[in-house]
Amino acid sequence: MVRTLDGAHLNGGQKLAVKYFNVAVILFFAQLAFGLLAAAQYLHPDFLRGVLDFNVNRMVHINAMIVWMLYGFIGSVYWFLEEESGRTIVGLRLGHLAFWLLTLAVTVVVAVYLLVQTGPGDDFTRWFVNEGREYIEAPRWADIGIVVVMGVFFYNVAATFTKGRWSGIAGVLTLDLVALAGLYLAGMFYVTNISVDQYWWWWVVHLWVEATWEVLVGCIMAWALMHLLGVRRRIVETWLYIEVALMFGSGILGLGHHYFWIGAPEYWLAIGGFFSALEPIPLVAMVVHSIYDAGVHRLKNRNHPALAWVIAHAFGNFLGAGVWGFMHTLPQINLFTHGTQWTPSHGHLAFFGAYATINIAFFYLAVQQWRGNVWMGAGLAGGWRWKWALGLLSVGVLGMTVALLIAGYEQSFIERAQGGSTWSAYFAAQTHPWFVESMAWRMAFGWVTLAGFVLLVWDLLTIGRHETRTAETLEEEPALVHG
Amino acid sequence: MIEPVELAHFFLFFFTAAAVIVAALGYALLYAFARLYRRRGLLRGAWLAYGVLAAAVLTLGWLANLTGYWQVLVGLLLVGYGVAPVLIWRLCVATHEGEGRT
Repeated sequence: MVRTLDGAHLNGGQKLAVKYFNVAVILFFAQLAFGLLAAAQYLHPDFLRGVLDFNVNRMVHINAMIVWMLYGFIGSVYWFLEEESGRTIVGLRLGHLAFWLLTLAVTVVVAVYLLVQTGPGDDFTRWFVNEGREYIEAPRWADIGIVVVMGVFFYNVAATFTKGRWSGIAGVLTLDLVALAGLYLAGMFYVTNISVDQYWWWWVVHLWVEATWEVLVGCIMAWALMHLLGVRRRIVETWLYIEVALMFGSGILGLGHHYFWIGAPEYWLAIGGFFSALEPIPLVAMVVHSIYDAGVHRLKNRNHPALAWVIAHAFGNFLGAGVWGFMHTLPQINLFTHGTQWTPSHGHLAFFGAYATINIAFFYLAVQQWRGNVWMGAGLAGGWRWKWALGLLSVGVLGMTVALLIAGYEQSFIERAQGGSTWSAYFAAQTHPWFVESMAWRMAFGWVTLAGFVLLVWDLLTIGRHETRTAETLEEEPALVHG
Repeated sequence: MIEPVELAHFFLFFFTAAAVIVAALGYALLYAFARLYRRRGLLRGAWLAYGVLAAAVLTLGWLANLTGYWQVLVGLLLVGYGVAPVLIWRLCVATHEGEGRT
């Protein structure tokens, strides 16, 4: 018997979610492919020069990452929306239209990144096409489209919960989507003063990633934990509120660590330093809670690959965001480390640990349902694939992180502290053996990551295909008896 | 104004900053396991990890020239990372207890 991926097992929202997941995986590949090209250009600067330059590869690498994660989050929300609200999605056809609009816009933007590098510079194109902020390079027309699509997404979510059933997850999610769409507007206007411009730009980059995305992932995780482990709704929602308070309490003013050197007032040194130092506290808190839950409830679950990726999330988030973040976040050291390979070292592990892992966990939950609620527990046929995919992806990203860390350490030492940030110091650091060898190791671990990705896709396409068992339905966890 | 870390202290600074968070993790882990399994040995390990955390924080304060109002940061790190695992544990017990009383 072969179990196929059958849309008949899915509700309307889940069918739309699957579309988002498919594009997310394609963009995940684009992120890796363009990352490898950019990595190769560190080692061989003439490679594809004039054809596909480093700045283009780096831009597509980073933008593809941001967009695939967004696709993953949006897909995850559509996945659980009907179940959580207890009714069909309001405006689902509009949701499908928005998906195609967004995907078309992403395709055109990437094609323009790759094929069109110059054009007329008049008042119209300057407003309509050129926006050009690092990490959010999408032209203004695409940004307007993104805001419209986010508006439709918000409408789908808010209207469905309004007409259906509200819950703690629904409330937090809906409010977070207002912030998510609203903050994006901060990156869409032009200011002549570069310090003021950067001030607003960081609202999008930092507050998205370290505030609204964290809360969005919190909502997704809350639902996933109920579904995966049978955790009681009341417990999950209580912890969601606590997490939101901790994340916002430290994360919002942690924004200050981006204001150290952009010409913002000096008080940001203290605000950024203090709140950044507190940002790992929610991560430490999560460790305690995880142990409590693991110890008390024995982690009985219905989807081993998804749970393994959730565990990878806990470790990756702690190491990438917590340890790697704090090592270079105080202004006393950040003076030397900002703008070096320290930042991508932190970025690689933090994005992978905090967001990629959760999206992948959700892909496994989706595939399980898509294949007819197939068994994904112990003794799963071909189970080595998800384990190796998890291992290769984790080792690959960790290896790149350490290689970039060594390069960043060398740069902050030679280029910044010793050389005083001059051009000659910059080149001295870029040609130093520590830097060059680190770049080679980064490349090698990039290939390991790609191998993990290939295995992951193979596994997602085939897992449970020959499985005859159906996943057991988890009862809500038993009540504890104290005393 | 800030006084940057001295060149000679770079490696030690990075190591110490990482040690702060890793020791905080160790303390949180050991504290949670100690309460879960009611083992005094683990609790002693937790206090030892907190001692490492305190030493790392004080060293960090010295390396990063945390003088004046920056000393508040030292206090925040010691108190915040010390209290958080205890409070979170109590919250865990409280949230589950509310569900479980029969």
